[in-house]
Amino acid sequence: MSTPRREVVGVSTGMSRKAVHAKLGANGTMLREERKRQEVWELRDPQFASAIVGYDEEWRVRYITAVAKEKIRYADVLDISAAEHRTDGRNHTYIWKPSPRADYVVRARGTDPEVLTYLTLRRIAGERESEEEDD
Amino acid sequence: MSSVSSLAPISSRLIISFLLSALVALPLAAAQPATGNIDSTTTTPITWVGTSPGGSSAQAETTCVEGVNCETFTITVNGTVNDWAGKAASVRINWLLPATDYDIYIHQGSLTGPESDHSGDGLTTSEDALIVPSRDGVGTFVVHVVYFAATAADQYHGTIDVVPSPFVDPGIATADAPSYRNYAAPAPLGKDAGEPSIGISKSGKAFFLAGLETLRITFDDNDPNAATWVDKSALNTSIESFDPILFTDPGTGRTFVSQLLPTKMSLMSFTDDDGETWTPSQGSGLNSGVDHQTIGGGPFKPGITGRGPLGSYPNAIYYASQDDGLASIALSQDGGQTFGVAVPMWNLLQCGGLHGHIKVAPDGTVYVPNKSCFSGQGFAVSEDNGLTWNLRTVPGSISGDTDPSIGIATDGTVYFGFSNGGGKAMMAVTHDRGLTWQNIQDVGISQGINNTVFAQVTAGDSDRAAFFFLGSKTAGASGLSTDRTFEGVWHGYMATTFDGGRSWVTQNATPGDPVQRGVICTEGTGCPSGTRNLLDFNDLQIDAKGRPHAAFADGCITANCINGVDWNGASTSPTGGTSGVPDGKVNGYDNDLTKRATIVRQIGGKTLYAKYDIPEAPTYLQASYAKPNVKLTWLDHSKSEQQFVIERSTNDESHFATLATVGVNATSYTDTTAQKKTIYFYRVRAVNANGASGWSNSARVYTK
Repeated sequence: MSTPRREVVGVSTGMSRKAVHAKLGANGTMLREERKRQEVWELRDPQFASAIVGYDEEWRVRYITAVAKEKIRYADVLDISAAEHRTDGRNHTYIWKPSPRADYVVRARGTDPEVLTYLTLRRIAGERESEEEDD
Repeated sequence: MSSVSSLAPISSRLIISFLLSALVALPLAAAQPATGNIDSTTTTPITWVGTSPGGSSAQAETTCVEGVNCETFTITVNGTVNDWAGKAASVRINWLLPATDYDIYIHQGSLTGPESDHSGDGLTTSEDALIVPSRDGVGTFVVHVVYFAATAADQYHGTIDVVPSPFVDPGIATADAPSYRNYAAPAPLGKDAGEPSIGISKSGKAFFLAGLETLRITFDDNDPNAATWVDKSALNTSIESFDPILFTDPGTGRTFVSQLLPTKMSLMSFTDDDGETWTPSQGSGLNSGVDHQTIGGGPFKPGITGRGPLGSYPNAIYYASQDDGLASIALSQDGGQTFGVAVPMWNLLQCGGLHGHIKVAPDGTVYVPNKSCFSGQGFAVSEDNGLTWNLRTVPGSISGDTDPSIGIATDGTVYFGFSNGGGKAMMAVTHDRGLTWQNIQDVGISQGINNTVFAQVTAGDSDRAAFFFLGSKTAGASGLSTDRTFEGVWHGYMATTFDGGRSWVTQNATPGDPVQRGVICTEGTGCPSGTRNLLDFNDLQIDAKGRPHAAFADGCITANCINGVDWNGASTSPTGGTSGVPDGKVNGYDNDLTKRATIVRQIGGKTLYAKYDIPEAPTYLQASYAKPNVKLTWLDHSKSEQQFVIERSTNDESHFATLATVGVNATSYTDTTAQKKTIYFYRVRAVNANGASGWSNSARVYTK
């Protein structure tokens, strides 16, 4: 049974942009901003090479996706037995809600059946995109 | 015997050699001057005059006497064949009296070299012939002037000019340029058509998605002015949208409409009966935020385990969007009713998150274009029905501001159109799925385009494609930024190739009626109010006859805006300027900020399918009298003619009547019915089931 991850590279959902910049800035560099209040970070982290952070209208973390640098097993970051597993035989996605009351889900994606490529924490409570219509 | 026999050949050779030397040494009568040089950039005609006495009739070139009734002018054609692409050297001799008669012959290299051209009319005061470097090469040419019935009293004058070549040079499009017509949605329909999409069903009806309205348009090929617009929206796609997208599968005619919802899902329906009934589908299979959803489809690549059709619907349908910093795509194997696992194509570290429209090649290869991958522009490509993806970019391309687009020809050739960083309208062609690229070029240069947005590409036959974009001749990247004082005028331009992308015919497809005045902001939600009415993209598809149909939102529809009146309309007041008070400039403050659904549709000229071509007109018709007949020769440029129709008129060019028809690929005809001492005019055109070409030049001959 893995320990529920509440954060990835020190960033958790709902965190303020200022806090994110303090956390990631200490251990990486922001490469650029993307439309829809998203940021791309290059990290100096033993496990993750980079991270993408998305914010809501109040600049609080909506999601963080980290790109793995070393081998991280799905089982290391979520409870495989409890997670929803989607696969087409080559691509794997695990989606796990750590507890019934959790306001976020853990998603792990990869093309290896054992080792993930992307690890995401995504907020689910009050989920609504930050951007205006017709964009 | 043996010694004699051995000496005799030597003596013969010496004698022959002596005679040849003497002949060469003899000063042949020549024009004055006798030689000249010309290159492809020459602007001053090369001239000379005749010097021979003439008098005795030269019955033919082969029997004339040099220096008496024939003479030569030697012209050196400089440069390379490529230098002369599209050009020729026009050789003309003139004299005063119609009763005088000269003929000219042009030989390559020397008088005994191959004949390139000749002209021998009667009752004229000139003869014309051509040196065509793309056909004849460059170097030395001899102009042989024969005094057929001429004396020094009416001496000829010669000139050689650089002129456009009547021959089709490889890589130079001489096709009949397509013509277009604009069709605007009638009020109250189509008022909210930012980032529109379009599809053409099997019945030939067009579907235009304008926000929440799915509009069906019926055209009438017999009346280019007619277009009937009807709202055929499905219930679940006409409620709310953060992103609208429509796609018609050209292989089946099924039309899909999807609306992205703020709750991070999409609502989708499809129709197989031109919008009479709609079937709601699962919608996107993935969590369909954040932006820029798109649908595409086409044949499955055979032999990919587990990724073929699961029901009666034969084609693959793909849905792509962004989520969690990844651009992902999901495959539907049941015609869009359900979608499978979303597969990441790239992450935001590799490429910008947004992407253009999905395109599927006839062999099942799937492409998703992107404006910013590794600082360039390119696409993600899958050769296993969306299971795995590779990223490929166009060498030398620069990340842009709006989505690039892909058109795929029937043989899989990919035409990649993009607004390059800086705004130029660029095109690149690949035959191997982006591993190598050819014909990378600015297709807007002929129109002086400096800023472009919203590239859209479609293709037909392997060598035919169309590229629609909004372009402004006004320079300055602020045209894509937030600058409402930018004074650019934007039109819709259609560039078309008929030679595999080597050359493009680029036309203003919205002449006299701008699509937008001022800035078209491409900075998304960072754009100030009043600069982003057109939103993020347009669309372009072809119908079954290969006619491009471009969908765009028109931001300039009132007479004031169309005519460029400095009126600072009501829309300016929230963001600058004073409404109704001219400020001395025609810019974004004078734009209408509308987004009216409009279609540019091809109504004439060549389409993207050669099987619908009318033949190209023959050129360079020549008529020469070879007693007692008149021989006609012409150049055949058509690949699809079924016959040539030859017409003849006597004495003037007002009474042409059909003389004969000849078959496919004919380039000559002999008129055996010509009467003596008569002036005839001839013309010829090519005909096939689609229609007739234009007429060739008319050729005149006098049967002396």
